[in-house]
Amino acid sequence: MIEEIIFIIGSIAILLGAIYDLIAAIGLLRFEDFYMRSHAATVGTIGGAALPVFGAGLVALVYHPLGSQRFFMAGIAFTVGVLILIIAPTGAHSLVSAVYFGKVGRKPKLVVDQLEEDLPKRSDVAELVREHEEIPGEEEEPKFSFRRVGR
Amino acid sequence: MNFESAFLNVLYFSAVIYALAFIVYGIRAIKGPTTADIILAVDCLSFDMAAFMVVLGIYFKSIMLASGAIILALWAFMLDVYYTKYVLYGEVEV
Repeated sequence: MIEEIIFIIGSIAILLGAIYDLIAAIGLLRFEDFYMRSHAATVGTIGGAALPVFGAGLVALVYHPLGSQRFFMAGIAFTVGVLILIIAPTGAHSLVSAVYFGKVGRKPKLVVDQLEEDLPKRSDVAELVREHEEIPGEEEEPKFSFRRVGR
Repeated sequence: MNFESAFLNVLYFSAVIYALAFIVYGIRAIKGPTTADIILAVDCLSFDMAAFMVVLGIYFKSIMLASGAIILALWAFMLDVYYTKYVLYGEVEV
């Protein structure tokens, strides 16, 4: 009795995750700027990847054709689910911050951008750097680098 | 209730929808206007591939297929962090 209930909950989670995945894919294709596309992508990673993995773990717990390997399979599934729950928001956040601060691509037309108002102006930063300028020649170059920007 | 035939029905529906989603993600990964769009689409693609590999591992009764999903999820995270470090700091320190 309890095994059927766990199996049905896991199957519903897998099917719901597949539908979430299709919705996120359509959103990723049809939204017009990067920030809206990143919204669709985060729906696709949490709803479309973490939910079916937890559902598959529940199914694997009661799936008797696997034999005694089913506990290993459920452990792997829950490990992957927790990893995706930790990793996917962190990665999406770092990617969007790279696009915003690194000025990749063209900025979309925004009604209000409160982060830009809070950031220090370029002239203020230049003045601050000029005040605290160090004596050149003290610092040695790093051994391995691809490209240096800024400084 | 026969679990094996019931799970086969679930797999039929979910595999069709997953395949459609993979194709649509692939279109965005090919035609993305900037590099960040491509990284975002590949990111989604590999997380969903990891999820689908666990489901397939239950169907094919193999643990080896499912344990590759951990590596795939970590690889997608590595791609994000390295792109961020390359764009913001101009170098990738290991």
